[in-house]
Amino acid sequence: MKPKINVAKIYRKYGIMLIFITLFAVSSLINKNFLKPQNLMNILKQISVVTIIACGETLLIVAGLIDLSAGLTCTLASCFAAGVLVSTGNVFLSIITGVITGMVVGWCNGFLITHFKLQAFIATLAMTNVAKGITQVYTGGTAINGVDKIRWLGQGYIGIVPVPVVLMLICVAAVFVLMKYTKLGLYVYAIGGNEKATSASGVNVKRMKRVFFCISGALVGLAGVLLMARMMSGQPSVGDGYEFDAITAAVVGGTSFTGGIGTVGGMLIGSIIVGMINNVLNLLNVSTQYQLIVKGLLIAGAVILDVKTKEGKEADS
Amino acid sequence: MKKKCYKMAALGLAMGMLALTLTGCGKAAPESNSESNAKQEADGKQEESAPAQETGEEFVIGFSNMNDIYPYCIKFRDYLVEFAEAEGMKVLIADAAGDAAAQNGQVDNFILQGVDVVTAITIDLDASIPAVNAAENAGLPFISYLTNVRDNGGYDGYIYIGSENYEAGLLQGQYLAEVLPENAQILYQTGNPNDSQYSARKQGLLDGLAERPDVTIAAEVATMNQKDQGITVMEDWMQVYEKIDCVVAQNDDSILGAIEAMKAAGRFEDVITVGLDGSDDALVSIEAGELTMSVLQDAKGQAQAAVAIFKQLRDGADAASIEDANVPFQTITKDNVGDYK
Amino acid sequence: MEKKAVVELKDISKSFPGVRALDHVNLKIYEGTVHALLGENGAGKSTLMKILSGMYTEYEGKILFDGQEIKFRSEKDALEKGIAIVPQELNPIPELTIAENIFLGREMTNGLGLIRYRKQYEATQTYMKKLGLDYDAGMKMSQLSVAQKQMVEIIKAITRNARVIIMDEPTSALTGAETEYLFEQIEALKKTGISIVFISHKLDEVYRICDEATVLRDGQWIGNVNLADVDEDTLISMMVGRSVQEIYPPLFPHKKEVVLEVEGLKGDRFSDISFSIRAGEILGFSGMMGSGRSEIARSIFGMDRLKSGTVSINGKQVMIRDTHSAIKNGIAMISEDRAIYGFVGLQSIRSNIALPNCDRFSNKGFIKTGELEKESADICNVLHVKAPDLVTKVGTLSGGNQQKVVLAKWLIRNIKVLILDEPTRGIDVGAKQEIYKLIADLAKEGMAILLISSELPEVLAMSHRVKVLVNGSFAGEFMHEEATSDKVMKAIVEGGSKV
Repeated sequence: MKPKINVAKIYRKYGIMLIFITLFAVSSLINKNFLKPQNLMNILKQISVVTIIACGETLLIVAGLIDLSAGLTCTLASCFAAGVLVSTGNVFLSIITGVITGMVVGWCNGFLITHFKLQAFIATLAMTNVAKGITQVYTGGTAINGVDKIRWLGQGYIGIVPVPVVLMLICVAAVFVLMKYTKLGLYVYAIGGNEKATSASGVNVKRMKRVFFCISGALVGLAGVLLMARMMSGQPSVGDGYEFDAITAAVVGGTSFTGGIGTVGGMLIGSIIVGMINNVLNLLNVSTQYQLIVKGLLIAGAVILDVKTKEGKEADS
Repeated sequence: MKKKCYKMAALGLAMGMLALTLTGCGKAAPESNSESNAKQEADGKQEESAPAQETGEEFVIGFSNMNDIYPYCIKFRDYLVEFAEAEGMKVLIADAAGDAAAQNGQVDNFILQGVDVVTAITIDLDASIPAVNAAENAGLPFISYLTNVRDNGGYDGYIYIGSENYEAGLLQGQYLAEVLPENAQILYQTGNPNDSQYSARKQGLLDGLAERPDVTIAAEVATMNQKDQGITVMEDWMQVYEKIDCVVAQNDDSILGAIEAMKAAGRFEDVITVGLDGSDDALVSIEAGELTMSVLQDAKGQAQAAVAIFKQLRDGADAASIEDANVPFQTITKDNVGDYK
Repeated sequence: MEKKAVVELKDISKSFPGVRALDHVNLKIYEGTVHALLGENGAGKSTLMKILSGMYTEYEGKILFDGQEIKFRSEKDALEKGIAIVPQELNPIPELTIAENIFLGREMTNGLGLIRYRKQYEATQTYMKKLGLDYDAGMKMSQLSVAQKQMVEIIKAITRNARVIIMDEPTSALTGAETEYLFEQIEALKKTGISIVFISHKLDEVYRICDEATVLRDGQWIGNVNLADVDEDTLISMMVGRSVQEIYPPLFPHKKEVVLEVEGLKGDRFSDISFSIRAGEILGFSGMMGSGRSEIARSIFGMDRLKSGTVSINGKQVMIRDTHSAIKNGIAMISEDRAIYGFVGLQSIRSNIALPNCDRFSNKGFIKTGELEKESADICNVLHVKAPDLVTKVGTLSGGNQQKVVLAKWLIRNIKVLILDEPTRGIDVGAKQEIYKLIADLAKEGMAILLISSELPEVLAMSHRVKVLVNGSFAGEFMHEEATSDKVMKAIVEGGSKV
């Protein structure tokens, strides 16, 4: 009856789609190049690395955790993967190296949090520096070149779809299935919704948290391999700040910082929204610094909407 | 027990990775001495280089680097340390990671540690002035490499060693003035517009193109001198521009990214590309016939010039009387890349 | 003597999408009286009080204050006019001291705008001494027990010169002695002309302390009665809308085999605890808050660490290291704080039921939704869980239904021992009855049940045996036939004096 409540309900269900459609329409009108199929495919390609990281972040944030080291771990993984590819020439080994690097860092994060009872925020912040340091030591600060064998991953196509986009969609689909249809997914939502009750139901919450970080870490590592393929090099200076983009995508997509709420489907749309905005700003020649401001405002807006639509429901007796 | 095995395995894996890194599977840095130093470095921490012979009063140099993520900064630092130690001097190294305030703090630390000369790749035209003041108050000479502080911070004991960013831009512009076809459009990728480097390099570029009024800069986007943004921006530019004549960047990482994007899209034929820094990657690209031209910052030359000045100071010369050293940039194209590899 | 009506709500109606929460409800509160507001959960009591206290500003009908029509713009507005509410769910800011909490919103400040903590502290301390309380006004809220927090809220209301204080389930977390104390305070407040709206399910207390009662049912105003004129059964049938049989079900004889045997248990708050429960037996634990009952339960269930002692199920000793091992050995517990430990509010009924049973409902990690749906539907039917469907979020259900979902998730397992800690707290009469019947049925089927409750009538009626706990050890045991409240209270008092 009262419009106030209806808006909240509508936003919760369809809000992200509405924002997406609106932005899409506006972008098409602002710049004629936006609608070119190649451009649209580019947007998906450009968000692919961050979106894969965001799959992990979404899972973690829903579980009441967070990973601030994702960006630099992605860099670390990309450099290790590049190094292995150059020294062994084996693509498979290179990919495995990247994924395992991410998993090890993830496991360390999980360990710090469950054993030393550190807040996820603090622990992963500390790991950021460790990852950065190891990257510097390993690469000596310069890029690792000679990774031609991975070109297909960064620049290839499967039909009309670029390989990075395929990989991204596979990751999103996999995490989607995990969170919605598996036991593990239930635990993610339960621990994020009420950790104490979940523990009182016999679930080993500490172990689960470590598992969550390993999964997220593996995704970060995979993203690192993709990053290396896109760059055609192991670039130690690139990747810092990617976690911020990933978290933005998750939050814009409806993931709540209080835990227990969020999906990767929403995150994907959130990521596309951020990518679209970056793209349009580029097409209009706006400096990347302004893109930072826009992203910051986006996340603020998304959080405000998140809070407002939660308390918008007046409880009945 | 399962739990224990799990832990041991993970620990073993972590140790394995550590071992891998320490055996230096990655790129090797210039000389062996500096290599061990490079490995010890972490953000904002200070490290000492291995002291050479004990000659009683050792000459100590404090060096605050601009940012470890730039290959150029690393190259310069390694050369500096190598040449200084060869002369029996000691270098204290710190990395400011792009933070001017952090750099000023590092300079203060150097002074406390009793260095003989304070040096830095100063980060900001204005924000780095306090560092110069600190050196002046301590009666120590202040050397700024590559970048400058406004009006020398008003200190006559201030010495500049470097290559003018303006000159780099100028060389880019002059080269392009010769090779660009008529009515060519330039797509320009830049660094952080708040950086003192940005305006100098851009101005040089524009001046170098002065004699070609038909040439325009069709678009300018700040890619922050990063390779991933070089790729992304180029991908988007290719949607806007049917024909790409020329892409210029303010560093090599960015232009190499743009090149990758164009190659992937199959639109790299006949595009003139210009970078800045003359990094190892760029030289390889030039040799392979991809990158058209880059401007080499002669890190080696700059380091040698620096050490020459250190020697003068050690021998008792007054800082105010020492002239600035300008080490010229080198235009590198396919023709002469062999000399610089 | 002609009593003045301080507040009158006339023809109050309020709707939410799809629900008519209140339909022409009347409430007239006289000065210096205690007025009970009765009704099952969902009857509309909370909604009515939220309108009275200014939280809801959109409604039909009118509010009269001292005879004048008034419309509150906000809670703050209502508070200033003199309507204060002491909520059931207390969520004080944990780091605030008692004094700071009491002065929250109207701090004493000096000329510069700085808060005069010292003065606030002294004022609070003096006031509490006057009331005969010996808390230190500098204690942090997080250090207080639930009862003490409630007391602070009441003091806060009084010091705000409230003329009407709404108390929502005030004694749900209080022991007998604390309840007595509260009633003394209420009597004192009455004398000063303050009126109390008393919302409670405990009819014996209502009869003790209230003068009149207004009964709501399903949003309808059923009537206003003078408590001296009606008996309890009439009141209950007004609330429930049907004639009421005995609230408590009959006890069935239990079997001989011992299911749970506990020996020499020692924990932080208890020591030397040994007892056993046979199949089909309901053992009741009675005692004051803080006597260690919940702590013992938590240790047996693996939520807290046991310092020493053994637990055996069906004669075999078991190692209880955590909740997982307890559950595997057939022990389940419903905690007294069901919102914190019982269920995940954001998740559906179905997911909550699945949570401790994932091994059963999953195949290679994937949840067997079909099977889960069917089993959940079955158990919810058996327990009469009232909800639109199985994907409804448990947080939106009423207290009684929430408790049933918590039970459901255990009952689809093969449980040998069920520990119930304050199972009917905050639940309305109708739902309570259902739960009592459920407990009796489970016992009939051979389950060993440990029933912990602060509601003496409940413990005495439902248990085969009652053990009394004082300060972490047993102070007495009574069989069902001989157990009375007097004997239990005596045991508590005597046990306490033995320290």
